[in-house]
Amino acid sequence: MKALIEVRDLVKYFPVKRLFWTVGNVHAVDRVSFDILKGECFGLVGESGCGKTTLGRLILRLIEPTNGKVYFQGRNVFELKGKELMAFRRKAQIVFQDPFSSLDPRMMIFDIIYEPVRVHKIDVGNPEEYVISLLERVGLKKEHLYRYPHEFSGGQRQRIVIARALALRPIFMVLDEPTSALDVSVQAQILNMLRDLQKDLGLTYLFISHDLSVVRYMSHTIAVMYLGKIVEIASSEEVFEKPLHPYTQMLFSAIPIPDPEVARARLEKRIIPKGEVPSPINPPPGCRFHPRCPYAMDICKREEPPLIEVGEGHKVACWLYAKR
Amino acid sequence: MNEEILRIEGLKVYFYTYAGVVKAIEGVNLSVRKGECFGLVGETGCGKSVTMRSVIKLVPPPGRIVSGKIYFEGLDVLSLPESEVRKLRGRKIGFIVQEPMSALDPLYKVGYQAGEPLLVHGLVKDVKEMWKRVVNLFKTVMIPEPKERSRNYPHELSGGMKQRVVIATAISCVPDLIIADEPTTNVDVTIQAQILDLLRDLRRKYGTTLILVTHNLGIVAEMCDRVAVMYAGQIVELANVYDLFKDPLHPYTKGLLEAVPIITKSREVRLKPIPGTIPNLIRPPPGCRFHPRCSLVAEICKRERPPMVEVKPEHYVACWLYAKR
Amino acid sequence: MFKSLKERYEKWKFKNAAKIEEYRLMFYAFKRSPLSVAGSIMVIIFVILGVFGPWILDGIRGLMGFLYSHGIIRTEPSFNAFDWSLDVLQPPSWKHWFGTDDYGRDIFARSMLGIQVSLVYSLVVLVVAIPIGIILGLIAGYYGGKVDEVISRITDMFLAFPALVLAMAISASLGAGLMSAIIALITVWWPGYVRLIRGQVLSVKENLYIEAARAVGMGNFSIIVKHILPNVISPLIIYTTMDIAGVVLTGANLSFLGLGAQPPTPELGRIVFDGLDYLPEKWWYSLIPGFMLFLFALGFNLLGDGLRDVLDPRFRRRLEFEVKGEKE
Repeated sequence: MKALIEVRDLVKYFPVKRLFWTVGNVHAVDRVSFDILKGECFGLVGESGCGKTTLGRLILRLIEPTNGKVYFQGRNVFELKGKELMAFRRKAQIVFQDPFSSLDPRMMIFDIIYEPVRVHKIDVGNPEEYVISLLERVGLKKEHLYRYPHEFSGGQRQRIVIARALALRPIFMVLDEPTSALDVSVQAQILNMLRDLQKDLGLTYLFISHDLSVVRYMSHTIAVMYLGKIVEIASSEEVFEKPLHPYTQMLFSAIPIPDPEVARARLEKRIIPKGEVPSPINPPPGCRFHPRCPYAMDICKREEPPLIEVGEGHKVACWLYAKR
Repeated sequence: MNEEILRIEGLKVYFYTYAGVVKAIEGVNLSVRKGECFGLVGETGCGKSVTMRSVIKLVPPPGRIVSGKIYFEGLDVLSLPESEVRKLRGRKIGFIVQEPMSALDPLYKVGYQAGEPLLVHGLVKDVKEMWKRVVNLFKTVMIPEPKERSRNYPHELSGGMKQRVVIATAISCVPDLIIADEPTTNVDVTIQAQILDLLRDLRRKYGTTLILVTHNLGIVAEMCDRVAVMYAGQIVELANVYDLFKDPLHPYTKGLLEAVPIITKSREVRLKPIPGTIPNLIRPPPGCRFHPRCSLVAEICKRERPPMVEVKPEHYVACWLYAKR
Repeated sequence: MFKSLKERYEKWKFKNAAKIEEYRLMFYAFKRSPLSVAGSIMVIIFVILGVFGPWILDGIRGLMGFLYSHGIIRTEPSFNAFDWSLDVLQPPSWKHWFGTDDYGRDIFARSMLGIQVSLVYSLVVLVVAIPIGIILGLIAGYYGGKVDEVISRITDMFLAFPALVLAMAISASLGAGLMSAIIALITVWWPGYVRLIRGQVLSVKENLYIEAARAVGMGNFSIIVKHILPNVISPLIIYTTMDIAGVVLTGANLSFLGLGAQPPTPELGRIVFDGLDYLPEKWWYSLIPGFMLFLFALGFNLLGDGLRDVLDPRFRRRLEFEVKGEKE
């Protein structure tokens, strides 16, 4: 399968300003490379401050990069202009995390969903019928057309956001924590709906979340991020069964599992991480994870390990596996 | 160990809003034993937070405790005057709030805020002694460099640190009961592990009773001895933690367990969402509040509210599948 | 024919049901506060007087004439706003309800007309100042960076002057008169709106729906007009309502200092100024128009307060009242 999206050495620094001059940079995304294949769901996992949200926005060019390229269907997204840029926007959409601020409170649902169509001046036939068909696809009804966002629950609002994202008939969607703000039972509904949509419409997803269980459920491939760098990429099963990077292992062991016997047994083996997540403004030298890593060696403090393939599409960035 | 430290009987809390009366808590009964870790599980809006706030009589308006009794260490809390209840708050019952960001006053040093209960309840002679105790307190909650950190302001600390300060505030007077309201909801997974570890540690050291309110079934499985499941203002199941997960009786509990993505399950196993949404509590469904979403609904479920029955030792359910008509 | 009309009405109702519900809720919330209701009544009265002043005056004159000629009242009131008469500095009486000034003119009539003058020129000031403020505020808030710096600094410069002092300076240099007072007030007033709108824009900008609009490919201009502007308008309404009072008072101040309306134009502040020499014996000259200014400002302020509560969506959704038994 051909890669729909190829990210190459993507970098994004945010300058930190005191008064007028820049005193440092937030290394939000620091030389990240990976591929997303057509039709797959690519999961991006990491804790707060790891840069996954920034990465998602970079791929859609909602922010400009400091360096690096993102190829969408072979073309560099950052070089697109005018009509080509609009064409790209039509094919690549995003669903945000917060269903409460994702919808303009002053607009009616019909206008919210139809707006992208209007902006791109696409002919979809009767506007009302088109929007109703979108609503029904996400499990809402035509009665909801002329209501305001505040009349809906979080789960329903998220469906509206998804309907709007589908309005342009995209082929790629970035899902930025789409269910983090929702209740467990609603989350399951939305996740299943997203999976079905992917199958029915042949969509490709970039699924960003801090919740490993959700990412595991949705994704085919998972990439783990820490402080702006990708530390491990593998298939969903591989990452879970054989996590190689110490950070990935730590993440997995920290997740509470809803099974008391298993959970308490795991407690013995849990790796409780030391300290806090360091700030992305002055990342530690060498391997970013070394201050908290139980296996840190000398070389880890000096040099950054490269992201290398250790088998069947499984890549790790760790001196435990890379040859010196 | 089997002694009861908290008992709630027939609690009803209603919210009087312009849209109507929200019957948020409709008849909740539970009892918590000394020294145990009691889990209160439910989704947003089920009323678990409100129930706990009732225990310390801090239900925010327009809410009002309409009826019911709450006994803490034998005291009838709801009939006590405000001045007496104040003596309980912070001193005998510590409350860990959900949002560490807004739980701390940005204008005061964190050390002062953590030590304030000591001052208020007269457990220290003066402010100097309070600061000394605060440093020890911070050490207990594993804040590195406790002396320096205690002099910081909230905005100078990370989220995990702030949550520890909130925990420190709650335990400063060494209360008999700690109520933790979603203590790790907005915190990273690794920090969550640290905080849960801390809570376990504190329980071991001081034998404090802990009530853990959360929507995360994993945390409950890991931490709690007994669990109560709440739905739409009512308790639907109450059991010890192993029984609850091994043998869930109530359809809602079963539904929850099947709807949660579990990391150990493969992608192929599809989640089973619970159809429908949480009911409007201004016009709650008659009978069993879960019946509109229940796949095993029967006629009686729509008419009458099922009583809580003990199906197995220490395993209670409120469902017509088990109660005798 | 009627059928299609009914259909269209039904369709309209369906489309706008949500909006109608919102307005009803707002109205209900507003009614609850007696002060707001009082304020709005006062404002309505003043606006009616302002718009229809001269006609109302004529109407009252006619009514009084009618009552007099039929012997129902003993004295016919005189509403000579401009004609000089010999009844100089008369205290309030049945002939002159608010008394007369030093030229024998009826103060009641002059006050009525004065309200019109005050209202009109405060509206002119706002109609010009507000759009300037909105445009600059939108640009500064949305684009940020250097553009924001430049606009904000300029705004700050203007705001650094006490409004009255600046207005005086401008007005004096342009030559005393109503027109120059209006220009002065406009110049002094627009910076406040830039501040207000800019602040609102900054917070609205953070919402995800703005980013969502960008993700769809909307250009900056469309986003500003379609998404930002509608969401920053509501504080504007409240601010403006209270501001009318502010403009009128400042304008009255200018007139009071001799810089605004020139004789013989009746303007409440001017009348107060003219009456100063005659205090405290001929109190009615300054105090009654002054009191009217006070009521004018009070009315608008109460209305603005009431609106502020009503337009805040969170307040609307959390109203509480004593429930008479359980609802439904």
